[in-house]
Amino acid sequence: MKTLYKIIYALAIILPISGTLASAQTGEGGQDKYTLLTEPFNLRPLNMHKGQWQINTGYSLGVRTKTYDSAGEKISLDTDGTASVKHSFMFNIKYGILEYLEVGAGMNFYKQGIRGKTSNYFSGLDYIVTNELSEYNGFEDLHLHASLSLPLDIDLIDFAVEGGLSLPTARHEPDKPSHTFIYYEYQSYTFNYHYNYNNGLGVKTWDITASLKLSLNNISLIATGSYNVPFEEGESCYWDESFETDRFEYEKIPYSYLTPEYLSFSSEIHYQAIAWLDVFAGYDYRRSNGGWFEWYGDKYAEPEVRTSYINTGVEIQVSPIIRLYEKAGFSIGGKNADGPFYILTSLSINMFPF
Amino acid sequence: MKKIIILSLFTLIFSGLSAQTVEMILPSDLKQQTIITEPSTLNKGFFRVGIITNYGVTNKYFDADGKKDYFPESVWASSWGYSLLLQYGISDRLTAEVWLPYNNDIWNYNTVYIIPEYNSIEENSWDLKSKGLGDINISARYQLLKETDSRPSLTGALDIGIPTGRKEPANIEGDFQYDLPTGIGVFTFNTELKARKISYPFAYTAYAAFLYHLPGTKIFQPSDEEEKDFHYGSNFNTGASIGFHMNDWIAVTNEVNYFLSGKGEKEGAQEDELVVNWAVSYEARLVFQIRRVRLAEAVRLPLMGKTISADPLYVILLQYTF
Repeated sequence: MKTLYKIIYALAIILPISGTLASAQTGEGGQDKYTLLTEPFNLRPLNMHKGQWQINTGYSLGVRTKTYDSAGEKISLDTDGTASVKHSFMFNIKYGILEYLEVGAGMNFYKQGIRGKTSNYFSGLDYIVTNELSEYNGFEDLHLHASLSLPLDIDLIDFAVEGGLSLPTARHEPDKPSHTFIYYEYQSYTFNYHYNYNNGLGVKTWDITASLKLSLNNISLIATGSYNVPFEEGESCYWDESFETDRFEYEKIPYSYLTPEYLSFSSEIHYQAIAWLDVFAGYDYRRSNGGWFEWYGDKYAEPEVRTSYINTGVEIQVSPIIRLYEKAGFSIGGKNADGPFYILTSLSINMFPF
Repeated sequence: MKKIIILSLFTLIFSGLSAQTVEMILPSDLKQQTIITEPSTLNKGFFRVGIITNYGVTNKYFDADGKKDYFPESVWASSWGYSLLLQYGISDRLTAEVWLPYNNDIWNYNTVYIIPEYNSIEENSWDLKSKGLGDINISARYQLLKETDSRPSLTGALDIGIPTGRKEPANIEGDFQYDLPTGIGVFTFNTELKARKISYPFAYTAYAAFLYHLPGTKIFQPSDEEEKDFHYGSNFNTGASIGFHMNDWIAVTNEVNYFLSGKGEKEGAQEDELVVNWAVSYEARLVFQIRRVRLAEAVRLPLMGKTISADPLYVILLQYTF
């Protein structure tokens, strides 16, 4: 009986204590990882910590209601009836090989249909309506990167240099058009021109990016500059179409092209309002340089493209492993480019699995 | 020795009791319940005010064969809706609601007319707008069965749509320039049954609803010389959702909905003007509960359907419980 009392006594004392110890161990043993995973934005380095995995995924709804012409003049597309919606899905993964060295890979997908203006031709007794749609559908190229940050160990400042490589994993050549033709009575026709494009660049490109982060108390500033250059010229095709009595026929015409170089700059200001909430606003600028394409044997320069956006959003620490991002962006200027607004919702999953 | 054992056991028992005390819910806490943990009607005396913004566009559609495609012509419509939602708990089982919508829609169709014989190119644009108060909705929701450990709650609802919105075109400057209606022009009656079970951190919901339109008369097009009789088809709505907590104050819900609209009638209508249409949609919601404030965003994505829009609908909701 004494032995039984001893066992019960031991259990009564040990169980709560062991529970406390266990939780303390979890806290202590996991505290470093917990602290690293729950670092607020103003204390977080630009790159992953050693052994940290990060998986990012998100959805963006973009609405293209304006475009900019070659003089940078804004053209309203909603009053033209040619506005459109862009659905984008992003996916990337990052890993901290060392405390100051990160590698990652990413691939995005988007879908968009851009309508042209409907035309009505009256010629003799013929009445012909033509509609035009350019559909972009599919994955973009796989992008790999390695980022090295300076081992400064200063809370105030962080600096990272990133080298990136984009591989032509996605198809660039457009698929065969899927035009349709409708014949009504009394010499009345409708031609629906439907072009099917893919989202790959078709060539390898490399890029280099430099990022600087300054943090002072709850305020952080980030400036990033990036330069993207193609490795080589590309070979692709366009489809020549002809209408034969009651059907379309297509001929594949090969052509060469050189993707433009792109210079990008972005800046963000962050305010760490509370431990789990970071509010930010930013500016993005991008411009192209060079590039050309062939059209029926003649070579044409790619028009210069410029885009400017302002954006704002929040980062929410949902749990130690999950961060949630809400971001909205608005076009404020451009040249030979569309100016959509977008709403992006994304999740970032962070962990130290090993 | 016995005393020590008894003391230790008491310690264990009381530590358990203190944990139970923590789980007790104060009346003020009830106003902070999340979309997962709250009952399906408001508690007695609770008053909730909400602002709902929704945004949708006209870009793609499901045709009569169920094929999803872009609208081929250069047509673009966007719809912003702003609604004020007032809810009051008359009893722990009965909630009254008023829904006051304001619509802001545009509809553009732009086309070019080319006549080579006359060397003529002319652009024609339909610029239609719809701004103003929509149809107000008043509702009563009653918990027929309260939730227990073994069964879900069952809630019945009756909604009445009041045609407070403008039912006919206005400010007509021509066939292509006028203001669209902001309401449908008839009373509607909607009944709904909803079952809900909470199994923390999850909540499961299933519902079915039937909406009936009263017949009416109105002018449909600016060119109509007199009002036409019409009777919109009835609607059937059913769906189910699973919601769960990501943490104590952020929840995600996933809903699948089936919508069916019956064939309506309209005086002098074309054969294909009023047709049966249906859609199956998926709706994801992200809901933040920060004390008594609730902020939610939702995207509704049509997955399949027939003669119906295939475009997503984006919704943002902000609520406060007094």
